[in-house]
Amino acid sequence: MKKFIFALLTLALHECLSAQQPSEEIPQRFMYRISFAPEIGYRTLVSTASEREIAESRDANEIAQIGFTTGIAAEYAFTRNWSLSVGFAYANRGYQTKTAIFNWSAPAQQSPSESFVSYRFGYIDIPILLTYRFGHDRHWTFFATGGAVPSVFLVRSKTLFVNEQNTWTSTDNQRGIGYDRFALFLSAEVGAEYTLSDSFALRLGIVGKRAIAASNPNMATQEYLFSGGLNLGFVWRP
Amino acid sequence: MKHPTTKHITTEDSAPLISAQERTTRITVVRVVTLLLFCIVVQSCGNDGLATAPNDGEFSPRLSAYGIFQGTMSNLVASEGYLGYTLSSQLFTDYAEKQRLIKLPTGTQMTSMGDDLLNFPDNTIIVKTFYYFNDKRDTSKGKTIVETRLLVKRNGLWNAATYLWNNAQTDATLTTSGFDKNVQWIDEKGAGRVISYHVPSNRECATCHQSNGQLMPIGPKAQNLNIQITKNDVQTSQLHDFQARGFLTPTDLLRIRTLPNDKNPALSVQDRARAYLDINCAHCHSPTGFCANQDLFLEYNTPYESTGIATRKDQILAFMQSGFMPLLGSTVRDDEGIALLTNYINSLP
Ligand code: HEC
Ligand code: HEC
Repeated sequence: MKKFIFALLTLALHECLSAQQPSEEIPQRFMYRISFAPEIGYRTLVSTASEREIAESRDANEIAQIGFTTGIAAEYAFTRNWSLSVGFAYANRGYQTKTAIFNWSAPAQQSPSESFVSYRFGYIDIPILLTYRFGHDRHWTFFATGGAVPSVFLVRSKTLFVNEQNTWTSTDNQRGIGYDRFALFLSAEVGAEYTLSDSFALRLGIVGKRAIAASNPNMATQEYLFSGGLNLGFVWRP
Repeated sequence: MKHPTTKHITTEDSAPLISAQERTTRITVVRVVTLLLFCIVVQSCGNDGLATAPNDGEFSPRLSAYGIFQGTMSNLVASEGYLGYTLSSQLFTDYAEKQRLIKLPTGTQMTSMGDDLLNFPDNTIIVKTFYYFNDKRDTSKGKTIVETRLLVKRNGLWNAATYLWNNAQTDATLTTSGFDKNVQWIDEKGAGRVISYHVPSNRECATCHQSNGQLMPIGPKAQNLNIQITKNDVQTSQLHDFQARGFLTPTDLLRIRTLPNDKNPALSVQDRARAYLDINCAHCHSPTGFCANQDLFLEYNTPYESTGIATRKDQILAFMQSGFMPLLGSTVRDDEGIALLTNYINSLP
């Protein structure tokens, strides 16, 4: 399924880029962008009946966590309004557990009072996005962007944070296994660009991304990561 | 006046055709991107880095269905017909205590194949329960049971699955996707400990338990069972006891060697360290294990020259210290194990 969607995407991309005949005046066809998006991330769980309880107990205990995506993209304008971009980004998304409070029956000498666990997934994203720009004026342009983000799973880190006498310490456990090497996200963004000069613009958007393939597809309880946040960018039109 | 660049041409003409140069740029971009995407797909589809050994046998949704324990389940009193056993050297699993049981179908026996894994009849169940004493200094203060793992042999094939105990400790639920659970206990020094215990997924079970692509038990090798146990205050050989009770076919026990106990300070550092590597690492690092393609073979019986330890002395310690190895099965470092291995590696020529 994923392979199929992916092949389709690649084909669509190919068609777009090679068949389009531009018919109107476009000041600069190529644009480059760097961006940084602080995001809130979480996951949905889809489980079989046999693991419903497991999924429910995780849903009761796991909460959203702040992550980010940062990267570069090259954008090509077909018309004044439509453009296609391909980028390369590092995404760090995940979720965490609620803070657990520990009571100790016997007064232990050193006794942690609280802890929580953070789960972070590192991905290399390759966003392939179609952008529609509208409401052009001297300084402002609005845009809406959507597309697919194939990505490569790098590593998951599970970090245990423990509070002992008001000092938080953490132990980190990093693994590049247990999750599918390949993931596919859908992405949507709306925002505005503020033109600074002929060549430069600032960009601010609200972005959301959602996995359409589980990160652990062979399991009875599957995770679909999603994240959303502000996307801050800088656009260069050479 | 600007040079007649692509940009220049396209902005001058009102309905321009794309220039040859631009077309080439575009096609190159498309080619590079397509190639990149293709590589990713081919490289990575359906690959999560764990073993693909089949492990999808049928298991009951609840542990109670097996009747492994009699009376109040959480007392972990084994039912009739379950044979308790201990290993000379045991796997480190984040300080968890473990209870190990074997149930053979009535009228059947295990057979011994030299030092190696015992041969089990069909429908054998091996049970391993992981728990923590609430206060290790005083075990009467109760325990927290986390999971009970099963290995079941049907039609000649083993399947593995684990059951996560509920908070009320009244039963356990089949858990195949892995689960993390907070566990707290007071250790033998009186320090409060908190960890996020990881219950492995079925794929993780298969990664450690596979041998030549098939699931296998790991612990019950004759040499790892060949120890003295205390029964009714009398010292006796565990294998001899199995035979006396009719669980094991008669074999010459004297020919079976003993895997050293890695925790026994009376033994040489070398023996202890090699036993430690055997039970904590060799299920992956062996010629039949998950890492068969690396030339690092950590079974106790492998002669030192063939282990590959000599060329990886620093790496072994570094990987253990960073928590990268063992790859699965624990979430905290085994400081005692690392100390043992450090002594061992420093003692090597
Ligand atoms: C890190 C590797 C590792 C993982 C992951 C693992 N095991 Fe094991 N398992 C071992 C080792 C090593 C032993 C033997 C040593 C011992 O019992 O202390 C063992 C022992 C067992 C035993 C007792 C019989 C035997 O083979 O010795 C059972 C039953 C068992 N495991 C089931 C499971 C199940 C079910 C899972 C998955 C939920 C699982 N194991 C995951 C390494 C692993
Ligand atoms: C669950 C399987 C598993 C277990 C258990 C395991 N390893 Fe590994 N080990 C691996 C894998 C897989 C690699 C390759 C990792 C990589 O290169 O990304 C590896 C690589 C290594 C390497 C590097 C080998 C080389 O030639 O590059 C060393 C050294 C090592 N492990 C030591 C250990 C030690 C020591 C233990 C026990 C404390 C251990 N491993 C337990 C799976 C395992």
